[in-house]
Amino acid sequence: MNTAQDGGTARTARVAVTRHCGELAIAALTSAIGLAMAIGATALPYGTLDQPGPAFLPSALGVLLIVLGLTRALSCVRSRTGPAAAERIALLHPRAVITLASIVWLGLAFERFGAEITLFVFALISMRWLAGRTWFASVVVAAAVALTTVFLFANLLGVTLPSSWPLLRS
Amino acid sequence: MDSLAGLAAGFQEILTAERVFYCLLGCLAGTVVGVLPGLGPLAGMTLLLPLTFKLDATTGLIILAGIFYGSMYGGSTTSILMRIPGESASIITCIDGYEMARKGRAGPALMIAAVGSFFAGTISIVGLMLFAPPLAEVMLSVGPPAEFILMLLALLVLGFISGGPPLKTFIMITLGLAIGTIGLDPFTALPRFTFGQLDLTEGVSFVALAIGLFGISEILLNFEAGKEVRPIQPKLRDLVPRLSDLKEAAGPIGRGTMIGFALGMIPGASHVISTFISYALEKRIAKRPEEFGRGAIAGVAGPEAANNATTGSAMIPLLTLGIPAISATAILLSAMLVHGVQPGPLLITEHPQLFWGLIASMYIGNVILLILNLPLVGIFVNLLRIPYPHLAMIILIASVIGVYSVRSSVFDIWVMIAFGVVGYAIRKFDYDPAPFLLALVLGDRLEVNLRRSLAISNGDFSIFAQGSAARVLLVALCVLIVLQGIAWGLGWKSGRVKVE
Repeated sequence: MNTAQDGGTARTARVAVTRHCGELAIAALTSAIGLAMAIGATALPYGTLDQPGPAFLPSALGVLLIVLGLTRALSCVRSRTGPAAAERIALLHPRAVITLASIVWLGLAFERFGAEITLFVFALISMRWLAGRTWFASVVVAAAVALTTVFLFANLLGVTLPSSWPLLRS
Repeated sequence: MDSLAGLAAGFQEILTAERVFYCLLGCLAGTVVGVLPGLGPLAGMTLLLPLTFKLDATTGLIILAGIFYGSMYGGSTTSILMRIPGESASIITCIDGYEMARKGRAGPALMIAAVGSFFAGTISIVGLMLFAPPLAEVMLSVGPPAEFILMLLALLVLGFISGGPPLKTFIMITLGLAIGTIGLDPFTALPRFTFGQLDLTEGVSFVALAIGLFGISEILLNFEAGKEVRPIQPKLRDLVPRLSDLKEAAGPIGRGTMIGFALGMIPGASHVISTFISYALEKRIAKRPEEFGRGAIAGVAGPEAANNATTGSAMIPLLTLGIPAISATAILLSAMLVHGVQPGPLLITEHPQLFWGLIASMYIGNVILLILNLPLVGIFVNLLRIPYPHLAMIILIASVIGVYSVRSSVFDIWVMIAFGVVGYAIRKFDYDPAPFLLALVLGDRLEVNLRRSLAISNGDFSIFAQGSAARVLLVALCVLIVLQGIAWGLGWKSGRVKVE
């Protein structure tokens, strides 16, 4: 649905790779995961055929991933010419990057600064840079979103959330 | 307990103000999820899954099931009024549904879609009620070897008929199985690939992984698409179809119901494929096939009935075998496991109130959807006027708090973010993450049954060909592999159906 064929995406995306390169990278990553898994499994007991150990399935899956990755890479190399392989796939559209950065902020700050502050900053980023609202509107909505969310989840649904109040008081 | 007595007990369990309210809530949430493009039943169920953990198992499942079948109803609304499929099973409805709307017949198109969905949904629940108990009884006599082959068969069918290229699907399946091995070994309790991280001893959090893979990646992709929508607004008085419309739609609804019910039990993208097959069939047998693509009512009635019929039958493998046929039912499976309920052949005997309560709630939910959806169609369409950044902000906050609330662990938020990025990247290159999720869910049982079988037989692989159930499944497995081999040899890429 969202390959970078639509004009808007292709025009505004900062990074784009050819389908051929991307497919090869995924194939290589698949084999690398398989290799890591097969090597990691050597640290676990294999057991015997009548008493298979913890390494039994992981090592088999590791080998299978290596084979599948190589097969995929081979088919990519075979079809490296042609319009499909040269198709440019846009990655890291600015709005996707801002969204990702805002979620990373949630991960970094949630327990450190508490839910209220973290959600306020997150909502501020969303309103100001993704929705394009004015600073005033963004601050008001962000404050409302942060307080309403904490009230809804912590008070009504009984979810335990880290609080910002000790930090704000100090 | 026979089916009718079970159903009566189920209604008794469900017909309380609280449960009916939650059923209504699930149906409404499902319709909203179906209406909003880019937020399918899977992403919607995944995002709301953590919120159901505070409720009891039956109520939580009623809500999630409501979202599942409610989204099938809702998906048709945007397909008909805007030519934007709310979810993948409504893609085909865009063709004739939107053409009908352009000709000023949006009302009858919506009405026929709703009536067809109601009929198919109800019939499929009857089928679920009739088929599930005997199938569960058969499964009770099945041992670990047959169960292992069944898991393998489910994964292979998924690989062959899923929407993506087979090789990519098999990579996704293997990766899902691989990620499933993280955590404590089920037999020896030795930690595997946990890297000393305590949060990984129970395995990668399914909720965090699913929300990242489907919810977060969906939002990142939708931000890139950023299209403005202009819906056609139907009037309430225009909703009533003509008698000729009803006559014309009756056959396609009946055939669509049968196709959807039969295909719903097969693992893979059955709810999508059934709509394409229904459309192709109706076009082939139509007296005036040239009308298809120009607003043929059969082009709306058949596919809509087919996609709703899959909702009931997709529950059969989940509730009787513990195998999710489609990824949306994998979310239901995960919800059951969180509540300490093991889906499978013992579910009906060990948790009859949950099984029959869920079925009764589906009957009630279908009626709720029929009554509520048409009068509220204007409101649902207006939801599309909410700017996407506002909607995404709410969804992201709910996701993060939902993931955190499961184990009060920030580590899970990072898992969600990591799989969000992975999901975004792989979907850009046409890898379907759904087989990954299904393999992850089935991986544990696949390994347990494989190792148990080998332990029983002292390492003798012939155990997988002993016993009638194992033999039947093994033959099915071999036939499937041979047929697929022939198909590839003849140059058929896969069993995919393409939109013209």
